Formats: sequence, C-alpha cells, structure tokens
Amino acid sequence: MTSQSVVRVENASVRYNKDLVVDSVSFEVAGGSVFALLGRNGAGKSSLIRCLLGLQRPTTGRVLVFGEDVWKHRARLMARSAYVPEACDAPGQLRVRDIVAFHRSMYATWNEGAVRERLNRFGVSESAAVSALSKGQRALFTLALALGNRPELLVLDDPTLGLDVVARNDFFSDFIGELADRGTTVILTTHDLAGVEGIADRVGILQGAHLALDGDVEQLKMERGQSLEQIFTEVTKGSGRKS
Amino acid sequence: MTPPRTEPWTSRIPVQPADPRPIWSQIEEGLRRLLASSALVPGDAVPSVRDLATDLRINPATVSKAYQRLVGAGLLEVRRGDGTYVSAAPPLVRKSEQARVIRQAAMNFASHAITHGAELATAQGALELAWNELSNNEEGAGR
Amino acid sequence: MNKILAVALLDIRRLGFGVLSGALIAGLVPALSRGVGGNVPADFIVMMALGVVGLAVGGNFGTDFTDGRASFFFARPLQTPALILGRCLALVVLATAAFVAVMSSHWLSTSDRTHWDFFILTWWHLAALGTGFSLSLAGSLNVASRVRGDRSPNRLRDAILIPVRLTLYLSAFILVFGLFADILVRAYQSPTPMKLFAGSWVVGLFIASVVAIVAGRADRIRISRFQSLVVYTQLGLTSAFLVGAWTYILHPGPAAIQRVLFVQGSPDGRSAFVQTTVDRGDPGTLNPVFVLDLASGQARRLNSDPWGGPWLSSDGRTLVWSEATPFFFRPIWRLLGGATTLRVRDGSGDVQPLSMPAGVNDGFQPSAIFGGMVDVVQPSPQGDVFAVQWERRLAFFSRSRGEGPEVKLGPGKARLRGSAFIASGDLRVALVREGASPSLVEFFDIDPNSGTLKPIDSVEAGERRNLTRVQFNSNATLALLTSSGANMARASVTLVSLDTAAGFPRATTLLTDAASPRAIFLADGRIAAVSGVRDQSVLKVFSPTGQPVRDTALGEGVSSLDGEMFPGLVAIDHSGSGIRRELVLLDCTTGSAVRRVPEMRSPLGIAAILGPGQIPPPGTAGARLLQSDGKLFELPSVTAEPRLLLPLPKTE
Repeated sequence: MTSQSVVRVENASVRYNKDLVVDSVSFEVAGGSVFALLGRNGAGKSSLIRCLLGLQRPTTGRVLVFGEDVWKHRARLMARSAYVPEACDAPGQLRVRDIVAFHRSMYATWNEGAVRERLNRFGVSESAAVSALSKGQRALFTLALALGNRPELLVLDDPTLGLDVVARNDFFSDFIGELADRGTTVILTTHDLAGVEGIADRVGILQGAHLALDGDVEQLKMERGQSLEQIFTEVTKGSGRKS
Repeated sequence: MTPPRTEPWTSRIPVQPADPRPIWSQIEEGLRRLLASSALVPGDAVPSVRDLATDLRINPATVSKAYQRLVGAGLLEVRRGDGTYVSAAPPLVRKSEQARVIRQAAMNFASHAITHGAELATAQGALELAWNELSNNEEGAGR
Repeated sequence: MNKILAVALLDIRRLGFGVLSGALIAGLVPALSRGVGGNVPADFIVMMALGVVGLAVGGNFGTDFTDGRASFFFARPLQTPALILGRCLALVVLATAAFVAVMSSHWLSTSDRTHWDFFILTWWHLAALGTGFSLSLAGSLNVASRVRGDRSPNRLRDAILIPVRLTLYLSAFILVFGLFADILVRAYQSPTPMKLFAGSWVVGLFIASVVAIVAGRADRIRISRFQSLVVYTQLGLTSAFLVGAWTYILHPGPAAIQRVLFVQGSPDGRSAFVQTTVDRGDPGTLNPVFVLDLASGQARRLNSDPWGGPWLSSDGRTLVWSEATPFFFRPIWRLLGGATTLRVRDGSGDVQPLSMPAGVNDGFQPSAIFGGMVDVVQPSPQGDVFAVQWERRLAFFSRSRGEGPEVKLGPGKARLRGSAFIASGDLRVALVREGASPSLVEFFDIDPNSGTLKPIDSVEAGERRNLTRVQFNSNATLALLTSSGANMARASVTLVSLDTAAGFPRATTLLTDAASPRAIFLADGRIAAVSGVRDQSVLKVFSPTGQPVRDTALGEGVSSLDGEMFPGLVAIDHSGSGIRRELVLLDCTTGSAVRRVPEMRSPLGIAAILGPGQIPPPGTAGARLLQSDGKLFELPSVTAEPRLLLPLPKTE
C-alpha cells in the first residue's frame, strides 16, 4: 500500500446552528492503515464520519479522499469506498435480495459471489425482509454489502455495537480478512476500546470538539505506559458533552 | 509437519492489547519463546498472517510486522505459495553479532533489575530460573 | 441509466403492492357507491388515486433523508440527479399502474362499458399527481431535515425576535393574498389566476426540494437552508410580482382605455365620468372610472369603485366617490379605526375621507365586511353638506361638522323617491310608505342640522302605485311623478305643484298612456314627455303649469326621451326593426327635427336615474355627449360633426 494518505482532513469544523461540534480538526489516514476515531458520546464522531463520506459538508475546511474533495466528487469517490453505519440504513420493507440487486447496479467492482457466500455463512436469508432480520444479522448483512464492492476505503461507525459474541467474532474474521487480503484503509469509530486496541494503527481522540490526541497506538502506549483504555479515560476525563 | 493444534494460538502467544508493549513486539517475543522452548521446531509451519490475526483479534499488519522481523532475524522463512515456516537451521550468526545481541539483552535485563531495586544475586537467580524453564520445555517437547 | 432504473425499482418494490391493491379497491368504489344510492364518478376516483400515489412517492422520498437513512443513497456512487430522476420514474410507473388498476376494476365492476376509455386522463388528474408529489416531498423533506437546534436559547432575544418575525410573516401573507384577492375580485372573475397561483406554488415547492437535495444531499442543515432559500425567494418574487401586477392592472392610465361603457356628464357640464374597459384585466369585471375634462380632453383615472358615484356638487367643485381600496384590507383598516371608503375632494384639490354612516356596517352582508355600500351621495350645491342614502335610510354629513343626524323616515318602511336641495339649505324629499293606505306620495323638507322632517304636502298615489321616480324642477317648486303601469301602455306622468302660492292645481296628470314614462323639465320650465307605444310615439310639450302646448309625432319605431341637449332642443333616441338607430334633436318650440345623428345615443337619459341633481345643464359640454359602439363623442354644435373624445385619439 502506498504511504500517501488516503484520507486527509484539513481544518474541518462542523457547526449545527449554535453548536460547534467539531472545531478545526485535522488528521491524515495513510493507505492500508487502520484509524480509530474515539470520543465520548456526542463528541462529534458521527458528524466527522459523515463528512468523510461526503454526506455532510464541513462548515469550514475540507476532507480529501483519494486526493480529491469528497463533498465535490462524492459519487466518484464512493465507488471505491464503503460505509458500515451504526444501524442498518436500508429501507426495512425491502428484501435482502432487492438490496443486493440495488448494490449490484451501483458498483462496477461488485463481487456477487463473495456477497452471497458471506450472507450464507451469516445465515441471512435472501428472501427475508430487512426488518425481519435480527440485530446481529442486520449488522453482518450491512458488512457483507459494504465489502461487496471490494472497497479501498472502509468507514465503520460503531460496527460492533449491540452484537453478541458470535456475531462479533464473525464480524472480526471477515473484517480482518479484508485487511489481510487487500490492505483496505479503515476508519472506524467505536466504544469497544479493548477490541480496537489490537486492530488500530493510529488513534484519534475527539474531546471538546478538538482532536485531543492523534498518534500511533503503540507509540502512545509505550510513551505513556498505559493501555488504550487508560489513555482514553485520562484524555476525556471530566468531559461529556453538555446535554 | 504442522504442530498439533491442541491449544489455540491465543494461549501459546499470549498477546495483551492492553499491555503497553507494542503488540508486534509481544508476538515476536512469544514466537521466540516458543522457538526457544522447542514448542516450535525447525520445519514447523507457523499460522498465516490472516489466521494468527483472526485468532488474536489484531491487525494483520501487526502480525505481518512481527513475522518480517523474525524473517529478517532468520528465525522464520517464507516459502512462496506454501506459507511461513520455522527456519531449518538456526542462523549462522557471526560471533561479533551474537556478542552484540547478548550484550544488548543483558543491558536491558540489568537496567530493568537495577531500576526495580534488585541485587545482582537476585538478578542472577532469575536468569538461571528462566534458562532452566526454557531448557525443561525443550526436553519436554522432545519426548 | 442503469442506476436510475435501480433507484426506480427500489421505490416500485417498496410501494408497488400498496399502490396496486389500493387502486384495485378504489376502482370498485363507483360501483359500490351506486349500490348504496350515491354517485362517485370514476373520474374523481382516478384523481384521488393519482393524488395518493403522488403523496406516497413524495413522502417516501422525503423521509429517506432522515438521519440514518440518507446514507443508504448518498454513501453510494450515485449522482444526485440520478436519484431524483429514479424517483420521478418510479412516480410515473406507479401512477400508470394505479390508473390501469383503477380503470380495470371499475370496468369489471360496472356495466357501464361506454366509459372504458384510456383517454379520460385530464389535466386535473396529472395536476393531482404532481401536487401530491410536490407537497409531500417538500413537507417530508422539511420534517426529515430538522436538526437539533440551539442548545442554549437566548430567551430575551427570542422574546423580541419571534413576535417580530411573526408580524413580518403575517404582514407579508396579508399583503400577498390581499392584493391577489383584490386583483381577482376587481379584474378577473375567472379561476385561471387562482390556478396559476396555486400551480406556481406547487412547481416552486418542487424546485425548492430539488435544489435542496442537489445542494444539500445528506447534509440536513443545508437541505433545510436551501429549501427555505428557494421558498423565500419565491415568496419575495411572488410578492413583488403581485404588487407590480396589482399596480399595473388596477391603475391604468387613460391611454389604456379601449371601450367606453357608461357615461355620466357632471352637473356643472364641464366634465364627464366614464366607466370603461381597458387593455388589461377581464373586460366584464374590470371597469375603471375616468374623469374627462371636456374642455381640454384630458382624462384622469379616478380610483373609484365601479358601482355608485362619483357625485359632483352642482357648482362643480366638490367631488365625492367611493375609493377602491383593496377589499381584503378594509376590515383590518376599519379595526384600526381608519376611515372608510368615501372620499371627498374639494375645489382646492384637497382629498379627505368622508365617514360612512354608522349604520352601514350593520348586518352580515358582504357589503358590511367590505366597507358597506351607499346607494347615493347627494352633495348640496356648494358641497358643504352631503345627503347619504343607503338601504332605505338617509343621513346627513357635513364637512365642517362631521357626521350629522340620521333622518327618521318612519313610521314603517319608507322609500325615498326623489330628493333635491333647496335654496334654504333643506333637502326636499318625496317619500312613499309601504303598506300605507291610502298610498300617498308625501313631500317633506328636511333640515340637515337636526334631521327633522317638515311636511310640505302629500298627493295620493292611486294609479301611481308603482312610482318609479320623482323629479324636481330647478327650485323644487314643481315635481314630476313618473310611474309605470300594470301593463305596457299604462305608464303615467303627473305634475305636482308644491308652491301653494302658484295658483294652479296641486296635481295634474299629464300622460297616462306612455309605454315607458320619460318626462323632463326643460331649462325654461316647460315639461317634455314622450307618450304612446311603438310606432305611435308622440313628443308632448307642456307649459310650466301643465298645459299642453304642442304634440309632435315621432314616427315609426321606438322613441325615448333622453334629455335636453341644447336649450330648447331635446335628444330623442330612435330605433326599431328595419330602422337605423339614430339620435334626433327635436326643437320643442317648433316641433321640427333639427339634426339627426346616426348610430349615436345620448347618456342624458341614464343620468337622471343615477343621481338626483346630477344632470348637466343643456348646452354645456356635459350635455352634448354622444356614445356609439364603445366610443365617446362630443357634439360641438347642432350642425357640427361629432368629435371623438375617448378612446384617446392617437396623436401620431
């Protein structure tokens, strides 16, 4: 993988009316690396994730994906990317196979066989309606869809939230397989600090709308002599957004 | 021949993500220990990057880095299309190289012991204990 | 193209079952309704079905922008225009399917095979589809793009801002719809402007949604911002357009006059009030009033309501009219204590509002809401006192003293049949009381200051039961009573003398056999009237005491007396089958016709009906007006050619 950054965030701010949720955040994610974006609830992680995908325009600053402004060239850049949202975003009344068919027409790099195989493995029936799937199945379904276009960039928003152990394991094995096979660049947000500790190369901690910490995981751990969880707790101490 | 998978790799290479030491370093050390205690013998296959990463639930790049170091140190070798194996023979290391490595390890050990307020005797005792343990394993595995 | 189809397919799959089953059931409704004695036409069902399809697809689209759903479409290599086109394609497909389903089940369920026709699709159906889609898309998009707001509201700032904003919105709304309503009521009584207006909003909302989606994609703040931007722009443009349209349409200049409908010479003879059609608006509805200065030929628009007035004092200085203020604003204006619609302009040009009588606002009639309507405003000769008649009531207003007394015309219902200001300043009136027995015509003098009635005389109505008019002569010592008869040939004219010292009988019947009673006082005191029926009309001239002086046969056809155009010369309107219409100027002394003007009519005949004391004196320009085919002419002298006044002659 190239060492050139696949994602570059330049002074991005996100403001909702009076709320400044993200304040001049900048970071880079190198190709083939795994970047974990951490923060307390409501810290602005989801807003930042939306900016990374061209779903939202940062109030100021810009986000570059594969070297281009993702807000301006969203459609083109999304062909090489995939998104695993926190909750399945597909319309509930539709069937699994309808959603798969929709994705097939969206992507030139669609790997139908791999998707079918994954769904089989996860026990997701093609004729089931999305709303009829269990929570775990829905999460695996979303992951299977996301991996279906062989993305170069994978963005995950709290992917293992609410998954049981078995589902989590399934998730991890496929996920790690992607990393091993293709060196996919990954950006993820999570609350599962222990789970992400081994996966992430770099970590960024959003605190008070700023990126309070941004660095190599192992380096940080060595410098501070703390686990990731301890580092996180210390950096976000006494925060929690005013609600 | 493959080592009998009686236990998953997670227990043979105890990797603690919460441990401040870099994970690749923990893997490297774990594999070295297995090699030293003859739990892994030359010719044994080590798990693929993907399998080990999946088992340990860590980034394959991290596993890859550890393997690369061990390959660089001559302890592992990659056979194209086949997998990664323990090297057939221990590396021929120049005496000077060997001396340098040993001295560095000793320096590490000594500084650890001194900063933790141990006496030389205590340190020497610990060294003997570890040497014995590893040798015992070797004997055990040979059976 | 592939992607557009994929998007459309998703929508079709989501809504297809519901739409089809609903449409099939809906198609049965006409047959079922007939079964229970109702009548729901298939046309209506189709419209409803298509409207619902529009609502469903639009609502579906908008709700896909909620948090947690928008990423499904936008985190994909799908261009925003393709997304929109895909939804529109789904709309068309679903609408077609619904239409076929409705028609099929309707056809199968009824025996009425004659209506099996695919071409019953009308614009209304498509409008229902488009409106449903546009409205639900705009609404659901708005709701979906609500973002969590300000977390720390500034109460003080809100307390000031919110009322200010509400006031602004309300004012804009009232302005827009008020002006629009005014244009509709005054200038276009057809539904087309309403349709255009509603259509422009449906289209505008759709454009707002499309712009918001293209510019905002999944960014909800941007979506709501752009939606608001387009909607406010449209509101602004519409308001500006409406203000412009209102100004242009309802304020035409004299150059816009196309036809003259209605003419009234002023009582000083120097001006004419004309009601016209102009080059804008609906000619049947918009009839602006202009004041034409007969000496200069200059016309100026009078912002007057087209019914009633204007009224000019006989010295020609004081003008009263009902100002055509926007209807919609009148109740608000009145609530604020503002003046009503009557205006007075005195000799110096100063315009003042003239209060309406308090009683005018009573009741729930539209006239009460929209400013009330007075029937007649009669200025005194000097223009200082006004006698206002409305709904069989009478009140006086004085400019110096404001609202004056209302006159009690009772007991019982009394109708005012004639009125004239006399030299003493009193108003002399002729009243007929309903249901009184015997029925009388009673004459009173009313003091404008106190409103008290001083009885002068009364005359038996008798045959004059259907009294149409009472005309007074110049000093109100004589009155002409004209009444229509039970049948065509029994109209009568009676001369009444109110001056007991005059020495001739109180009531003299002049005619009893007029087809239509037209009688006038000539300037020199003589009386002229036309009697007899078609082909046998006779102009009768009487002395000031009621003695017959001369009869002149008027020949074939129908003749009616319009008025005294030149001193001693009366204008007779002569028409009939096979006879070319013409105006005949007849000398009352000699009985000879001194001039015939073809195709022309004189407006003098209507003037007397409109307003007491509003007849231009003979020989003045106002009396010499002629009308023909929508044009207004002046007859400069008995022998001269008519001169065109309006429409304005081209100055090329």
